[in-house]
Amino acid sequence: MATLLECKHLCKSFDRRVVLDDVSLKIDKGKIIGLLGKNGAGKSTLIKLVNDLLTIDSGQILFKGKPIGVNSKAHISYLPERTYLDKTMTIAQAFKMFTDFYTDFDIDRARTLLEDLDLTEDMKISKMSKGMQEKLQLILVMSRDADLYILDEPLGGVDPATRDHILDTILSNFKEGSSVIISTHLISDVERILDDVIFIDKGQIVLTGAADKLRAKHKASINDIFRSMFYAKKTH
Amino acid sequence: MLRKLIKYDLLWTNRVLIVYYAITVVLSVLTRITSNFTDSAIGDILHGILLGCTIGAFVNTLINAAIRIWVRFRQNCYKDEAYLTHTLPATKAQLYDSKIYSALITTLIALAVVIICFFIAFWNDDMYQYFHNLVQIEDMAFVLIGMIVTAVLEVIYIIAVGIFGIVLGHRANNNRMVISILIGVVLYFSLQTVLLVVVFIAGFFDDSIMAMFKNNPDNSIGFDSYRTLIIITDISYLVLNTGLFLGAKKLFASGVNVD
Repeated sequence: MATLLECKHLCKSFDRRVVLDDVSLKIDKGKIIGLLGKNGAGKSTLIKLVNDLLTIDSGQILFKGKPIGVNSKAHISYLPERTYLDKTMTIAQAFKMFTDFYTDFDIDRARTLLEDLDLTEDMKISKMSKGMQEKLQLILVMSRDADLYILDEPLGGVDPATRDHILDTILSNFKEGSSVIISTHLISDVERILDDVIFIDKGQIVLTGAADKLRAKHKASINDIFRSMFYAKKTH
Repeated sequence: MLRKLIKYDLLWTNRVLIVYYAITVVLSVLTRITSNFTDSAIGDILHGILLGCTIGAFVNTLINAAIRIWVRFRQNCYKDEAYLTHTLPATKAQLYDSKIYSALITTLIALAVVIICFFIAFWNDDMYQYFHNLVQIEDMAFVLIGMIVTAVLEVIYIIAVGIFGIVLGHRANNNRMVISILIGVVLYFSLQTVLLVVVFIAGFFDDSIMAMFKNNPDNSIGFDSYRTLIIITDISYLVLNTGLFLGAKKLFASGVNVD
């Protein structure tokens, strides 16, 4: 299977604190991958490195075989934990901005998704609640026909009903043949949609594999495997 | 791509500044109008108040322009908005250039507003005569243009120092804002000292320039020296500004660590 994203021996430290330690992984095309780990395990740092938001101490990141850069950014749709929109904009202006910068942005899809939230394009982002702003960002991200969607904690801080809505939005809108990386510590919520999983702990990849194979091998859900691995480590 | 980036940067920076521009223009026009009514006590008081407000508006416009430029740079490149900025399909150099070009355009607009408003509010025959006598020359155009160019370069220098401070300060992992301000302030005074040394060295070749540094009661400078001083200052500012912008660009293009 063709590799979409490859990280080779990535290392990242802040001051003397090692956050990522020799991380290597491959993301294939057409997969939904769970990047799973506890808070502070290094998930967001890894994602930030892939999105060129942090400098790499050592190692290499390749997207379709080439170092990350303008080309990768044109084909990666990224949903960060933060609300990154200019609050002085209206929703229509945010749509216009995405249309201006991303050739793969589908404004009709964005408008359809917006209607589901009962929002109108003339609304100012500053007048929207934080939850609504996050949903708007999800709409913007999922309205792109990207090759890779990277969603950092898309379910964080939302109620179970909203989590289902978010997962449905993701599943029904990502481009066919593309891959999705979902970073989360809420494993039970995403487990049902994952093809592959990557467990990360203390800045290192501790387990990778196909979700079905892992379930069969361990005779347990991904959530239980995760709990047993990290809980077991803690008690020993 | 660069054009699109500049468009959004200019829109953000000038969205608020346009209000300050409008206030400055209105105050300048009112100051000019009330200058015709200074014969009466009320007219004189009103003119005095408006005059003070207009000068305040000039300073306010320039300070706000610089602050908006710095805030835009920091928010858009290092804070929450950076998560979108750095994932746009543009190089780091393009992102930086966009900020600098929009900063230069904004600075020139703000200075143009202030200069035009200065002429609207204050320029008259007495002032012309004052400047004329001050420099004791007839070539007023060169002097005025020289002063304007120096003012423009000085404002750009302040902005360049601030941006360099932000870029360098945000390479630290902690206390980024404090470090940015410290670097900016230290850099500003250090480079001003360098500029002073350059003028001092020029004084070895021009006695009237050297007279400025000595306790000489007759330290007025002639037109030739004044012209030399303007040229030295402007070239020095050009070199400093270019060095600061290119230095910051090199650092920025090598990668950032967003908050």
